[in-house]
Amino acid sequence: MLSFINLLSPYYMYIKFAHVIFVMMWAWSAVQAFTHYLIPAFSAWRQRPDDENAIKRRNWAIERFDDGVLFEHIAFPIVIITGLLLYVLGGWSTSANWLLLKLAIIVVLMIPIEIADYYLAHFGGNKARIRIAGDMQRYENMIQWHWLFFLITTPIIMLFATTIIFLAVVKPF
Amino acid sequence: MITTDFFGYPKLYNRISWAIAIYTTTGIYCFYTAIKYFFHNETSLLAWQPILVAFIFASLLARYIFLMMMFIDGQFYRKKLKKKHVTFDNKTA
Ligand code: HEM
Repeated sequence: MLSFINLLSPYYMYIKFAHVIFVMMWAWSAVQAFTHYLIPAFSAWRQRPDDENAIKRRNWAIERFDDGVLFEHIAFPIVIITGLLLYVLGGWSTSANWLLLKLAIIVVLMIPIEIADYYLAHFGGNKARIRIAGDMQRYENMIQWHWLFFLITTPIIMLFATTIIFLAVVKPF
Repeated sequence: MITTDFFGYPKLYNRISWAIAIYTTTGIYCFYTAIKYFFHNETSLLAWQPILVAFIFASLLARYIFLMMMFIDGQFYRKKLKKKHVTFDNKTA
């Protein structure tokens, strides 16, 4: 363990660079698609739930978005791993209050949200795969669960991702 | 027949927003306080003032989540969104 720390500690700033660049990717990579493609498609469907065109566009948008969040979902584990490395190499501890609060938010909110998101986008909830399997009732259900997931998590992510980044950069206490 | 009507509705959003706000606040408070208590012998957060602050925060958070859910779900802006987002290949919309 000690030799591992000795080996990597000269690269602390490089690891920090990786941490920050992947934080950027995690935080922002899905925003444009979400705001200007997904939300309009879903809004149209919410207003006219029986409109075939609206449903078609909604389905296309969510299937693309399932793939689109790949960037975010590659970045997240890298952020966690590099974060843990910084913690060990930098000799940080939970006596740094900003870091403890940041970790609390990550453990309580971000990790559960990301687990649900991985499932909905890439595993059991992947829409394209469900469509190809031909289970259209599950397809519709998963799209609706995914929409509820967005409704719940969007305000949380907006507020708490900003808080995490603020805490890490400003280290206010 | 597959129904495409969404199962969400405002009362459910209100309940969800309270549940999430309480989970979030309690979770973060307990995590933070437990580590301070068990690893640093600090008890400053185990008092009524921080708990009151947490309670006020949870209430505001619940309201914020609820309003955002309603907003994103298009519950406030039905008419406005209709024109903007129901589109080119559906002229009757
Ligand atoms: C969603 C997850 C995370 C986000 C958004 C995030 C964000 C950030 C940002 C923006 C910085 C840069 C601060 C600066 O350069 O001034 C930073 C630094 C840091 N992060 Fe993270 N981080 C996350 C996860 C983690 C995890 C899981 C850990 C550790 C267990 C961690 C440990 C650290 C440490 C120790 C620093 C301080 C580096 C320094 O100032 O020398 N991070 N984080």
